[in-house]
Amino acid sequence: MRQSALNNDMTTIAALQVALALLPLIQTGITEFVNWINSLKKSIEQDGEWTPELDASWRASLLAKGLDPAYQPDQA
Amino acid sequence: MKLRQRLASTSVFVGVCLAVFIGCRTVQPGSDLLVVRTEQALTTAGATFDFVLRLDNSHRVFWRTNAPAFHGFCEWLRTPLFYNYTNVVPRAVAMQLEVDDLKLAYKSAKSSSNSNALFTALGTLSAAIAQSTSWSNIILAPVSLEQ
Repeated sequence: MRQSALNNDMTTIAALQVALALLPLIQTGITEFVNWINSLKKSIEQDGEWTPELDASWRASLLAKGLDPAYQPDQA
Repeated sequence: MKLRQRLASTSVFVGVCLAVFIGCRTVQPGSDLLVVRTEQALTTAGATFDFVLRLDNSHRVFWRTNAPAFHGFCEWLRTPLFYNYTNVVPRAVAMQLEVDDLKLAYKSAKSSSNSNALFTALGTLSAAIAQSTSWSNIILAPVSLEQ
C-alpha cells in the first residue's frame, strides 16, 4: 500500500511537472489549465476521506458536466 | 535549447521540492488510504478530462483535420455510455462515476473482492488520465522551443 501511495504521489508530481512545462506555452484554454493545476494541488493536499456531503456534491457536478457542449460527441 | 534547458531544470527542481514535502504528509487517522487515493484520482480526472475536452471543443474542425488522433481520443472520452441502466453519460463521466461507486461499495464492505475491483477500475481511470496528460503535452508544445 505504501508503494502504491508513493506511486500515486509520483504520478501527480509528474503531472505537475508537465503542467509547469506547459505554462509558458499556453495560449488557449487558460481557465481550464488553471483549474487543472488547482485540482492537482487539491489532490496532493487531501489527507482524509470525503464526507458524504462532499461526495454527493461532487457526483452532482459531474453529472451536470454530461450536458456540457465540450462533452458532446461530434454531430453526425 | 536554453529555454528547453531552463524549463527542464525548473520542473526537476520543483518536482524534487514537491517530493520532499509530500513524502512527509500523512493521511488522517481513521482514513483508508485506498479511499483517499481514489478520491485524489477522481479530483485529478475531472479537471484533466475537462482540460483536453474543452481544448478540443474550442477548435474541433481544426483538431479533427490537423491532429485526428488527439480528436479521436477526445471523441472516445465523449462516447455516450449507459450508467445505471437508464442514464446516458459520456465515457469520461461514466468512468469516474463507476470508480466512485466501487469506492462506496468498498467503504461499506471492505472485502478483498471489493478492493480488487476498485484497484482495477482505478488503474483504468489512471491510464485515461495519463493519456489525457500526454495528449495535452503533445498538443500544446510548439514545433520548436528554440529561441
